[in-house]
Amino acid sequence: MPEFQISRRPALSDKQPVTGPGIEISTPPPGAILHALAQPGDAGARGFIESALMSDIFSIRPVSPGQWFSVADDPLSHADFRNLCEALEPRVDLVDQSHGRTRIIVQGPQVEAMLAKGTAIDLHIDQFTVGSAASTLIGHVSAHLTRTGEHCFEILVLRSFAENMWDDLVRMSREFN
Amino acid sequence: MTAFRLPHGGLIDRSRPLSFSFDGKSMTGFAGDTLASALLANGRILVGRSFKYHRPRGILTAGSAEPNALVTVNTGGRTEPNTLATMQELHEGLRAASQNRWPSLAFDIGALNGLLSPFLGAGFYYKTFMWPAAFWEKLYEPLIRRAAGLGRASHDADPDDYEKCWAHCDLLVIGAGATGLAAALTAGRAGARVIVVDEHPVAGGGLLSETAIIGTQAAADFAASCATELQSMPNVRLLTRTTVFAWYDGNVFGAVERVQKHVGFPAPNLPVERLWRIAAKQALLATGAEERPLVFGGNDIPGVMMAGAMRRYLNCHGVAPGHRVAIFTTNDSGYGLARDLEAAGIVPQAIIDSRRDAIPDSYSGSARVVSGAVVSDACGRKSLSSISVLQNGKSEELKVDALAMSGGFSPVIHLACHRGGKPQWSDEHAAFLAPSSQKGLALAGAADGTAGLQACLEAGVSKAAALLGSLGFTAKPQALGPVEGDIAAGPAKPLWTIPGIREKAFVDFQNDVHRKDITLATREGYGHVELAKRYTTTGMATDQGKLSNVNAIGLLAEERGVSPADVGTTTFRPFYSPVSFGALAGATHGKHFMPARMSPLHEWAKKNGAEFVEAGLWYRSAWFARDGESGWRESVDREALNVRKNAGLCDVSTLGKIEITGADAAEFINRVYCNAFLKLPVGKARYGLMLREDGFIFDDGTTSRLEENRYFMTTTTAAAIATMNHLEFCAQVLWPGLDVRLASVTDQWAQMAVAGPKSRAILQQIIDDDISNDAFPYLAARDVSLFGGQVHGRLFRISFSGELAFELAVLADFGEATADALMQAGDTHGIQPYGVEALSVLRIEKGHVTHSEINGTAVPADLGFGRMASSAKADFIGKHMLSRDGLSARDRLQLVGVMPLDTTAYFRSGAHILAKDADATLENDQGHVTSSCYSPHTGSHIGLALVKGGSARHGEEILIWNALHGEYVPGRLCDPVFVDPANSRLSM
Amino acid sequence: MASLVPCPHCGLRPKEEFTIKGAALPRPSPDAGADAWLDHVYLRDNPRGALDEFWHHTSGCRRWLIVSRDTFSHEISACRDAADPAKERS
Ligand SMILES: [Zn+2]
Repeated sequence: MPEFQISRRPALSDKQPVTGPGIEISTPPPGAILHALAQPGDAGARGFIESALMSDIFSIRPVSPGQWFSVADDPLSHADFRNLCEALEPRVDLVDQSHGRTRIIVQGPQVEAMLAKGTAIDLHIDQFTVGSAASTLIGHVSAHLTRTGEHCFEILVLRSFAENMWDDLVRMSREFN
Repeated sequence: MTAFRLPHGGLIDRSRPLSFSFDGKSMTGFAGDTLASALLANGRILVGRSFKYHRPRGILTAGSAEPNALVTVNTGGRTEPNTLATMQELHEGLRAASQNRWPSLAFDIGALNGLLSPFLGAGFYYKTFMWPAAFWEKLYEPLIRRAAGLGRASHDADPDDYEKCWAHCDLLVIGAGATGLAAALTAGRAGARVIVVDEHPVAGGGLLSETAIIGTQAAADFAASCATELQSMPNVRLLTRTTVFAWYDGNVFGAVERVQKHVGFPAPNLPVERLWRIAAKQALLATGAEERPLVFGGNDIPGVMMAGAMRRYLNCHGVAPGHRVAIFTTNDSGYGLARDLEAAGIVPQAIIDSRRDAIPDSYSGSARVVSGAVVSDACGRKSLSSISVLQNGKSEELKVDALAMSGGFSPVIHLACHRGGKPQWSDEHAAFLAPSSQKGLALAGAADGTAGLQACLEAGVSKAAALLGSLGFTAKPQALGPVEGDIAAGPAKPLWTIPGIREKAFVDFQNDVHRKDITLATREGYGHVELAKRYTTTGMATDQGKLSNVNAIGLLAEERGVSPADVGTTTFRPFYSPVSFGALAGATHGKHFMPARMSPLHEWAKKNGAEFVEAGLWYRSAWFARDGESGWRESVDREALNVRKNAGLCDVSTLGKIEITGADAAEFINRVYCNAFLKLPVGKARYGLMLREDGFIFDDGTTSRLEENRYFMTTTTAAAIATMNHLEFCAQVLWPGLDVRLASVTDQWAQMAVAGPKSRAILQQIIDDDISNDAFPYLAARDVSLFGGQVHGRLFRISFSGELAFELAVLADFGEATADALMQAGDTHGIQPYGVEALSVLRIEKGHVTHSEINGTAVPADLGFGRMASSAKADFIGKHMLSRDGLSARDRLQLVGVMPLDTTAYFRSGAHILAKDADATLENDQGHVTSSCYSPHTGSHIGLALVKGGSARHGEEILIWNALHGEYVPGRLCDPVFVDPANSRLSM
Repeated sequence: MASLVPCPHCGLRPKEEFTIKGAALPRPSPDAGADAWLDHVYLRDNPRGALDEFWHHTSGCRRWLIVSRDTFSHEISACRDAADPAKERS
């Protein structure tokens, strides 16, 4: 068998981060994004997931009734993924979305004003507090939005739309930088 | 020259002169001028020609209701026709041009229409259509079209950016005049999130043309300090140069902010306009009131102006309207103007007051007041020279060069009527008021019929406090004022029909509707307000009748001898004032017109020479051209031949992929497909057909059972999104008791079809598991390890081409590296990439259907899947409508192959099938070609067709008819499988 | 141009995030007979006034909802997860 050097090519790997006084846009190195699915209405499911996934590694973000994204900064091997599945099934099923979703970080003092061009969610910090997460339209594309800091948000977007989302965000940020 | 700049006064910055041009003539104004005030200051009275009669027109208002002073500003891609000179801020280098005149404004050939005016009255268009058609088309219409019309749009692309955004607030205050500022201060100080919007560049509204004192401050200074305080509050956003143009469902307001329409050179990183969608918990309309014109003869002659507008030019811009000024009023508004004119050294020639005994106590000026009198006619051609004053039956001529008029006030209630509410006539206010108690919206101040500054300030405070109370805020009472020196213009008896008129008396200035048109409409039976509007076109111009509608209604009421309440109004709809297409489009043009979806193999395809084709939002590789190939057909033929001879690699990542888990996943899948799935073993894939509830085919694909309770479903690219929505509907709504969980994993996997006799040999070089025919037979489906455990993947032994074939899915980020490795591993086996064109050739050769055949009119039996629909299952989506008689009729359109008799002949999809000797008529239509291609393996064009009773007509000679292209190709119906009908190549 | 739908899971969201399926009618039982099925699939009332509809929060929580709205005033009087009444029935 020939030797193949297999390298990972994430979406947006050729993009330079945007920096400026108002807005910064960047994409972190690929980590792990696990889609956790429980029966809708299973009230204890979130706690169950949190107990199984180490909270210092995974942050749990609500997607929908009975569904969460568990996001980690480091990639997860297939074997480790299978181990997590076994720990959670059958109450919670995991689906790996680490390659299917692309993370984009937007931050800066004008970040709410910039995102207001895309989403109808009220991002006022009293309404959408740090740690809040929601699925929403940003422009014409569905995305999952999490507030990770006062002026810092993380966007999870379908990989195939990542470049489009990036270009949109760059355009939206232009007036603030 | 009549109008002129006063030596001092006004809110303009005299230290900043600005040069601009109008119709090529250079002029100078000051910062703080509008184009209108600058034109007046330059003595420019004539600024446009009217729409129909091309009458000379001047500046009538000082705001967004202006019907006359429409100009074109800027050039090239920034050309903006129909700009209101009264709203356009002056800036250095502004270039403006008048419209609707030829060859020049002063000498306009279209003015001949004025001479034809007896023929151009109300209903003119309808009546003229009665004339001989040829007469109309060839003579009148071209003439009138050339003469009429507004400015011309540019054909150049607009170079500027536009943006859209959302905003949220507790209280939206619309209008930053006395009422709005008082409301905003009250709400801001109470800690609510407030957005205050005003269409002018500076907050203040009527305060800016007011000479009253509020507290210790001049009115304009009071407005400025309110604005400063509002801007200092983090919970308040003050948006000037912004028009709220609509009230939508959910208490969302549309607004357009003119971010950079007041500068000569827009900054490239800023939008020129921003469209706001403002979601407000409560909104307060503090939009003020529009002064009504009076309908006397010649009321459109340049030099005749609204009294409030004249006051604004005087006090705000330091512009005097003329040397000899008269005021015609029905209410106290005229007296405030008279007082301010006198303060500027211009004593009015006369105040003509329609009331008999009504000089307000607060007026102590020296102008002559003619009580119980009217102006019956104004005279002059391109500017006003005199007026006829009628008092007690006696007419008096006054030489004047400017005339102010005030016919009372119409509250600006448009927004309050955008969601179905009807304006209510109030005799007390002599005006239409907004419908009361609408959820989420209140009115205050002049917009609510309140007169006087003190009352407006108090109304702003109290209405804001009430709205905030409903949101749980406690607003402290605010003491604003006291107000000194205000001449409040309270309601007065309206004056609709003015006696003694000789000249045309205009009701709708922009559409040239005059009083006789209203009379004519009533006389001819079109007195209903909706009919009169259309018969006369009153209120149908770009100003939407802001000045004219109420006068038209008043005149209709008097013609019919009823109250305006009985006439009613036409419907108010968005937009309040015109909104540019740029603002509505926002950034959604060019590259951003719609999102582009990229496969994880996009870069791989690109470096292998792919030509891309748009498939929905996706960019798919269509074919891979090689040097020396003369056209796409040559590339496609090569790719298709190579798949059947060696092997090909095709990107199928765009297929929809859904992971289905849960204890009831098997039962769920069995219910959504028409064929049986319950007994699908782990490690196997199966073709599945999904129906709609009406029995017609919805989509097809394969579903593989990877674990006991974990399935991997693929859908077509086209129906991927719809299928996911459908499955969620089934799971959530139809069968919420089933434990089934759905995750879209379309983007998680890069998926490659590796097809051809050499495919296994190639794949085995990168896949760690044994994929021999025994270990991995046809329809096997399993997780696999690649590259010695470096990459995780899923392998499916399925075939769309009819060859030995696999579909390999790998984690998307590894897609490109895996495809590269396959090309390298397959090099000695002759592997080539192939695109969707060759994919299509291969599937047509095998008679495999896509959405060309699954076109929404086909049931399973039509496509040869009749036995798939399981009669053993008690229920599946589509089962219960499938047994209808018509769906099993013998003459239904059924899938069939079609070939030309002459193998060199060409036909295309969409062509119709006729019986061999039938005439080419629609009545003889037997069906149509759904897919067609050149098949390099049969050496002929081939096609799939849906033909009446087609499955029983194999071998029949027919005619392939394309009426659009005039093509008649003799052909033959045949089995839809053109290559390897025994499927022997699948199982090598 | 705009309207807001009160998703029970996501809060007020613009209509652009939703996909509308039509009247919220229960699916007949498998043995309901041809007439009931024909009625279900093809026949719809078109009321002026109150109407319950299936709306999918496609770009949000991806739940199917029952939106109760007035077809004349567009006023939305209620919005609930479609699984709730479906569960109550079953
Ligand atoms: Zn939702």
